[in-house]
Amino acid sequence: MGAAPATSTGDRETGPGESRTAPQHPRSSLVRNGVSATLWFLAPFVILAAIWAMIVEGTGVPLRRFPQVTDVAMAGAAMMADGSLWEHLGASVWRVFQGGGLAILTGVPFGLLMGANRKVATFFTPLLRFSVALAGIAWIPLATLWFRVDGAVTFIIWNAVFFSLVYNTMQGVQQIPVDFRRAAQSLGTGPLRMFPQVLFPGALPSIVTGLRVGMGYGWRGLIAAEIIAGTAGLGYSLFLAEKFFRTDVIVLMMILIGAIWLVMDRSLLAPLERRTVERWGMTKTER
Amino acid sequence: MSHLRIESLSKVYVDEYRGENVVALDDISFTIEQGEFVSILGPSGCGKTTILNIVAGFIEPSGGRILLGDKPIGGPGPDRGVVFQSFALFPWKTILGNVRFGPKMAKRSRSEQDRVAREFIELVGLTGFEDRYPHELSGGMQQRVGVARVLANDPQLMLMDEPFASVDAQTRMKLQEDLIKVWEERHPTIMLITHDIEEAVFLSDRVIVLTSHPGRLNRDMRIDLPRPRQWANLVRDTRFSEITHEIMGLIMQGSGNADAEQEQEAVGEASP
Amino acid sequence: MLDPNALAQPTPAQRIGRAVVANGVVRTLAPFLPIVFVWWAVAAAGIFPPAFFASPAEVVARFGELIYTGVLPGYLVDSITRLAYGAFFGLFIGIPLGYLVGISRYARRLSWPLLLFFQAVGDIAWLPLLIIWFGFSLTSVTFVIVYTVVFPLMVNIVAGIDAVPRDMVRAARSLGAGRTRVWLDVILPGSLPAVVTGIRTGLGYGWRALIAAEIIVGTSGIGFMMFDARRAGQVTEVFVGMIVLGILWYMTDSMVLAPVERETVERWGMVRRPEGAGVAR
Repeated sequence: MGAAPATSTGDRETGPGESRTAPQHPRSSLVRNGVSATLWFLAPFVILAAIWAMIVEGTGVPLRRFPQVTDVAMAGAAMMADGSLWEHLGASVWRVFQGGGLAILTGVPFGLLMGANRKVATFFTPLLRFSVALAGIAWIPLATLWFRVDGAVTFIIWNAVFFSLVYNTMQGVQQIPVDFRRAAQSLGTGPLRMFPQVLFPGALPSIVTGLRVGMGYGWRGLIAAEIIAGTAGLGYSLFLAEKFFRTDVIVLMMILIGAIWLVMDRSLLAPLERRTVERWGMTKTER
Repeated sequence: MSHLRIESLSKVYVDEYRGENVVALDDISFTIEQGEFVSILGPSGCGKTTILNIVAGFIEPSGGRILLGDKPIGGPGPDRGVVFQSFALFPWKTILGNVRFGPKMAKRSRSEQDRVAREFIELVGLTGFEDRYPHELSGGMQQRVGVARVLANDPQLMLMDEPFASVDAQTRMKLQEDLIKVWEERHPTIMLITHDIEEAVFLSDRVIVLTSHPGRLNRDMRIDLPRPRQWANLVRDTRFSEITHEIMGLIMQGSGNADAEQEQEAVGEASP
Repeated sequence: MLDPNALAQPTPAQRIGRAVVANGVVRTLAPFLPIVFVWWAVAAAGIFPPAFFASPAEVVARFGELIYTGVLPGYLVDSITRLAYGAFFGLFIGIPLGYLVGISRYARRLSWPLLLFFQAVGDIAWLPLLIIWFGFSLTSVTFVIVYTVVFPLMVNIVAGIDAVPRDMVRAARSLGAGRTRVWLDVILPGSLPAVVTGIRTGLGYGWRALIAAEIIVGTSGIGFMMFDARRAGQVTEVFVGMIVLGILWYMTDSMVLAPVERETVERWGMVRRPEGAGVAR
């Protein structure tokens, strides 16, 4: 998915080689490019909103069925005013960071270890593939049985990210050219220092990819878990709104869910992935 | 009347990062005769690939005129076949399928397509590999397919963009000798882009040397070495070393720091 | 693993051993044996209370019971039918739509942000709205799966079209191919790896969406069975459900997706086989 148009002005500055050939380029054309990219990105949404407004206006669909654009905006304003929006948003985002962070702390070391030892890797690979496929939503029944609500939702995210991270980290380590390890060895790197010095940086692009894929599953898992067993969060407010036929709140939440994931993915994970891959001129085998 | 006539060709790129114009090609004129083998030679960043891209119709010139036969060229078309450095074989087609592609586009009958394709596969010495997929062949063999694919289309002009730059040295010499053989047999008109001086001298009737920044015509040399040519004879040939030596002198004068310039060519090529 | 001497003169035991190792079924299942053993040991040691953790023996027994009573086969058929429906319509809609959008550069640019957004909204988030529209019905579930399959597919196709090497398009053009032929002979096959990745990602998401939808809509299916069992405190049945789900994905992957990939993009040397679902995007 490298073909995405640049969405932020900062993207282009970090392109490979640019800073070397032209360290003091005028910023004006860069800013112009950034603005036009942003406009290109936003324009479709404006058009979509206009079509939406026209259709609802033309067909006279009742609010119980589908909201008008203004209804959604008003619902948003009301929820912002009484603070419930921030409460739900905060709960969901906090859980994502909690679960994701926990998964990084546990998954990366485990993945590195598996990647470093071929026998351990061959032993665990089938089980891992099994678990990656199962990760996330399928664990909801068990998670709600094992943990309290908050714990269960965090567990789902951890679970989704963990398996994807372990798997990708392991593959990343295995794809490090053997010459890198040999070079490090012949320069006096011991087996323990090999992890921070060679294996981790070498596997980093793959680790970031794993994080991105896992977070994708995790975010969906979070919404599902909150709908099924939540007491707060975006998914829970979706569940509540459905009970009361509040389509304006439902659509608002859907937009928020999409927007937050896009922001997380495009401004956090994707640049991180691009930077690790491009910075060192490493190309991944799969894109 | 020359076969290919290039008249005061120029190309200016806009460098997005600096917001200034970069002159890639400046007032280039030359001609190629029917059946002639001409190489365009120059240091990195002299815009030689830009010339090929313009003649092939992939990008538009900023100024100047190009006539093939006596008609101005348009977009890419079957009258100008291109052999790419990256081979650009279709991985989902077999060797036969790749070579048959041109005749198929020309809507020739199926049996005719097959006959032509097999003829040219044999010409480049790949009989027996018709049903293989490109990735199953070595780089040298893949480029033989690239040549066969273009020749099977019987173009008025064959354009070669550093065709042997991505194969190893031994294979390259073999491919060069085989290309010469094919050329001597069929006499297609060839314009070859290269930065390899010996390759240009070995293959060509004429070598056109460019300067860099901006790309200008430096020298148009006729290579008066006798044909048929073979590496085994030429490596000890004094005339061959004189010519290569002379060209090397021309190129060394014309190139400053090659690294930065190469980068610029890359930037320029990226925005057709 | 094997030392050269052994290779030269295998003892009969080694020969049998190697034949067993070479057997695909054994190779796939063997790694699970120690896991099952560890699982059994943990359950037997009573580290977790039995209400939270089922032992392998219980799971197998319950599995047999559920099959015998016809509950599991019935639910399984429900789930698979839904997934098949959803996947079929998803492919049917997603592939043509992806190429349609991809035809023009401007359409591609305009639709790209929308595609990213709708993929980001996520299938499950649609469910409340769908339930209001269609009630707790099969339509709602199918819609969700179609949705999950369509967007990754379109995103991948659009990105895949952009990723077709420029030299290949140029080669085709200078061999005399017109716009239509470039599309049919270069863009379409050239973007096939992206389609395969898209299907893989879409089905991966679709599978999860199905489970969530079955839990939420809750009438039948494996997801429903698991959640129903959880409400009744039947932890064994939850375990059965998870194992069945895992096996099903494994089978979908190795019996449907992998052979398609082997016959197309792998045969053409365009990609190496991505291992597992972890690399799908």
